[in-house]
Amino acid sequence: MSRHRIMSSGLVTGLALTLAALLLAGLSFAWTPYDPIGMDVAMRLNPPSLQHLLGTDAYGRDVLSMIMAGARNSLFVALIAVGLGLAAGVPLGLLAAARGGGVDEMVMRGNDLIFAFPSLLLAVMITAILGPGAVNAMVAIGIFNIPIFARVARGAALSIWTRDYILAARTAGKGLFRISLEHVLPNLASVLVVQATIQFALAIVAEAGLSYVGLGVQPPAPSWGRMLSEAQTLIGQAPWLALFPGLAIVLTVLGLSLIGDGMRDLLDPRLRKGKP
Amino acid sequence: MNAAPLLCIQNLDVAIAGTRVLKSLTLDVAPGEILALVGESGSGKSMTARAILGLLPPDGQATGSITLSGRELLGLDDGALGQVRGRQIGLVSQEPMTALNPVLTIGDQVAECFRLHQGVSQAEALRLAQETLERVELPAARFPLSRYPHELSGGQRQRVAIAIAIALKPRLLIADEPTTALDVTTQAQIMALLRGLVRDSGIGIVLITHDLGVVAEAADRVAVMHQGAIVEAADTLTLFGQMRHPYTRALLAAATYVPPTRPVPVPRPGEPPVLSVQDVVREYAGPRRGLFTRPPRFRAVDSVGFSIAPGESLGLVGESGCGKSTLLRAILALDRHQGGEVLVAGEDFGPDHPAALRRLRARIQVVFQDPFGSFNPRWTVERLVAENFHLLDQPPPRAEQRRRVQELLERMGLQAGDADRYPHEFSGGQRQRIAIARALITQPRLIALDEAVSALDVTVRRQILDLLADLSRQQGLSYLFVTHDLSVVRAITDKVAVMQGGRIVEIGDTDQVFANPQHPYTRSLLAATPDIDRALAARRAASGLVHPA
Repeated sequence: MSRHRIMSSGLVTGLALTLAALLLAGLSFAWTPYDPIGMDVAMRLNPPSLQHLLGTDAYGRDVLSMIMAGARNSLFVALIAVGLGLAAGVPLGLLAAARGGGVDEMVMRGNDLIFAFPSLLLAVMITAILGPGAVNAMVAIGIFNIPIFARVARGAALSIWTRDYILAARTAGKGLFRISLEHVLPNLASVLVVQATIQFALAIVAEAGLSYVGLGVQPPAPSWGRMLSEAQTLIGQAPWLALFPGLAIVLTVLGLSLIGDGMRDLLDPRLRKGKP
Repeated sequence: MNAAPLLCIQNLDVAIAGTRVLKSLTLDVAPGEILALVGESGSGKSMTARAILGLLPPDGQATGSITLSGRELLGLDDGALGQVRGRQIGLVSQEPMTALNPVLTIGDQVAECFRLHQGVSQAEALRLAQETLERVELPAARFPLSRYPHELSGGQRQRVAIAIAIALKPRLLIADEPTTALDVTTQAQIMALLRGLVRDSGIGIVLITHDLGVVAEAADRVAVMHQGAIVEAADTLTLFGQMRHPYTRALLAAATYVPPTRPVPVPRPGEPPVLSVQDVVREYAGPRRGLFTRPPRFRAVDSVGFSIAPGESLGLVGESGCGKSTLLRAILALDRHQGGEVLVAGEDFGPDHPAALRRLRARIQVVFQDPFGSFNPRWTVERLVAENFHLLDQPPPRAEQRRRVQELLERMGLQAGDADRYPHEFSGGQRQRIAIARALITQPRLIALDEAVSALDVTVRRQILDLLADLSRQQGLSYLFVTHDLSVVRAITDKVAVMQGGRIVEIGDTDQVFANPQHPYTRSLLAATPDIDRALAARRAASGLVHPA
């Protein structure tokens, strides 16, 4: 084999897409083509043109500027929500798989309790208690992610616990904690990465739902989700209002899942090619 | 052969993604004949079966000719092949656990063949299914059609799989390692069943196997495969008598290999046994019957005791479900036992003595069966082998650990540079060497081997047995072989313990137990184990040939 490729084309594409989203978000702090919250009623519902590349909305706001500024809120909310789910859910799942018995029952029944509430209703409840706002939206969406990650981690971990290399680690005198950390967690990383990209997409949409009922990012600050929900009633008149924020979400999620797949392959020695 | 061949393969070449895996294969099977296809893994046995069934992988290319009763099979489209597969060629695969659909009754699964291929009514299909199940000796009185696969034993499931394969009375049956996953006594019954089918219905069988004992007992003719080509083919007696090709000779030598004998260890006075198991009991809670009743207890290991002196090897044999693996887990303190005690070098070894447990674990190590599943795929060999340094109170520094791992790998016949590679880069035999290195790094006195050579090809198995014998000679290492394979036990152990139903029914010197088994169960195990010499002698007697021994 000549030069082995360290990164697959998928991973490169994913990095490019995600970087572009992050750049747009970063750039929006310093510069946007127009003021993302500045209304111009004379320019309302203009289709994409050279002046307004992605058109304008019902209040004459520039869609491109709103998408750039919205990226900040949407990405931030989704990243934190998924991070919260991972940080709390995975250890719970690992613990349930490692200890089994009563601990497992408690963790999983606790999960069922959260699952029993419809997710959006739960988020509405939490934001209603904590008050509306981006931070509380993250917490609300993140809490609902915890049982999802706990369940996925537990299921994958249970199958890993039956492997012979776990027995070998136990005959090496290692305890449940070290085995979970050294043997179980690295081998379920691929499952978690895939689940995380799914949850990330769902979190963007969930934030949209919360914003729609006025509990997420507060107007006039834009978010991709709220742009989508505001576009609903105008979809026949001004399809670009739904199209561009939708595309932004799709491309970002695509980028993240390509990164996820690429990282999974990169971290798996079995798939690493041409190692000398 | 007088009869016109049933299956005729001529100059079959198969390439997968450009790599030739079968080379100019020519063989035929007559009606009423069992042709054994033997060879080691990767020799092309299963690929031959797939080529006959038209089930090559998508990037596979076959050229040459495969005819069944004169009809060319190569180049048939999927629809025509589908007709041939069920009706004219039946397939029995290795794994009776996964070959059946767990949510359908056995009656429905057999009846499905009739409904699909003959378009008969459900009632008629079930009647035919009943008949077919009777043919594989599953009488309706004990095995009604309404049984589900999980209610049957492994051997009974394999009978159902055979019933499905022969339901439409095919002319050819392909049996791909049909008894490899089964116990010896069950294996003997299934082979008898297959031979009965050949005798009664004149079906031809291609028997794919790696077990030369099974071949000697069952096959009419043998074709030996090596690297995608048939190196030798002849009728069974001729083949075993002549062995023209060096590979055939190597295969037989490896299958019946016994490592050079070593001096029987003389225990030094006052030295405690490396492992002493006394009246160990292992119980499980069964399924709970009622909300407030205690679940019934199931005793998997019942007052088992034995001891292993320094340098001594003990074989623990028995069929699946006899409790030998459960016992091993209890001995290794992976599970808590409910009675009796396990002593390692005279000290209590169990979860109740954590400090002693950790210290003593360095003295008793284990090698598992599956060379693929016993390594964390994300760790390098160095990290895997060095894991057991965790057991030492003062593990050596990293550089020293690396040096010791490399040294040990070299002693195992691997290379120092292999320390930086990952387990998937090695073959099954090499992985078992790595597993042995992992067990040896803390310089234990005893290694437990849980079916550690069962999954290996005979020539690889021979190398590993040699390695183990060398280690024992050089270091006075003791072994506990847990296995269902009596030939391994006979080759390498000093003592043998036979387990049945959670108890040891017979224990003694290996030579004595094999020569003069006392317990009826031991006798039935020995009788069911395929034995090449015994099978060949019986054949000669049956064919009226007088051979000088």
